[in-house]
Amino acid sequence: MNQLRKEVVDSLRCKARSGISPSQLLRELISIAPESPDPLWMVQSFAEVFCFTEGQSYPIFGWLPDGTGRLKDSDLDYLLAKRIERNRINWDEFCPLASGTELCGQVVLPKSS
Amino acid sequence: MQVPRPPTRTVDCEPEAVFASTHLFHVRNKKKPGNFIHAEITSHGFFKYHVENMPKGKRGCPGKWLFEIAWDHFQQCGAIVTGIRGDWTFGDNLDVINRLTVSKKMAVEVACRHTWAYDRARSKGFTSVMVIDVDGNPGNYNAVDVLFLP
Repeated sequence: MNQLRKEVVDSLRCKARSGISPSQLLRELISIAPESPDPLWMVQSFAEVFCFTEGQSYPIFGWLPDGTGRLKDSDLDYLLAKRIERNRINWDEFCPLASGTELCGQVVLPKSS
Repeated sequence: MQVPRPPTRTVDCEPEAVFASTHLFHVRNKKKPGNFIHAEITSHGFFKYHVENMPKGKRGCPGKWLFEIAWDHFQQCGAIVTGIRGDWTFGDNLDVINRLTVSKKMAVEVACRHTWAYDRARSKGFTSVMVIDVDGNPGNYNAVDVLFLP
């Protein structure tokens, strides 16, 4: 199972709150992946960040960061943004700042060791 | 976890278990990157899965077999499955739904019964169809969320 670092989870939640698109959030996740990330890692990481317990992140299986997947960025953003918003009550309460924007601007996602 | 032996006459099917817990199961084919099953028992007790064998062809572990080993795994773990969830946002099941519902020639509930996923669910005794949610219009759905019940 994935175990993302807390600051990574917090940062991604805050960025989601500030309107960063799911595909962009995924690219940020990929940039900190310990090794070449596979779809499973992305699906599980996204589920962890947004507290998905019903497999809501499965559309990621159809997406690739280079745009060659069956779902394009715009498709994925449309599908996941709704799910993230629908599940907001479960992840947003853990966000450390009320507004989030200041923190989002400052945090640089660390490389995992 | 020891993955069951693939059916005879399969080509390039070398499955390995990545996860095999009481609520999560992931088996991939070491010989074909686009060939895997990811399955889980959700918080509502639904069996939910995503299976792929891409690119399509005769190579790889058959999707039906992957479904069976995932199902058997959870049964052996003692899972009580209350429904089989299909949450389709791309792929063959959604393609079938869109093909059959174009021009409203078939209701989405009926079209669900023509999918590969329905055949799998029916094989386990889940023959009722409950459409939880759809996104889009007949023939052009972006997402179909369905639950197969006993």
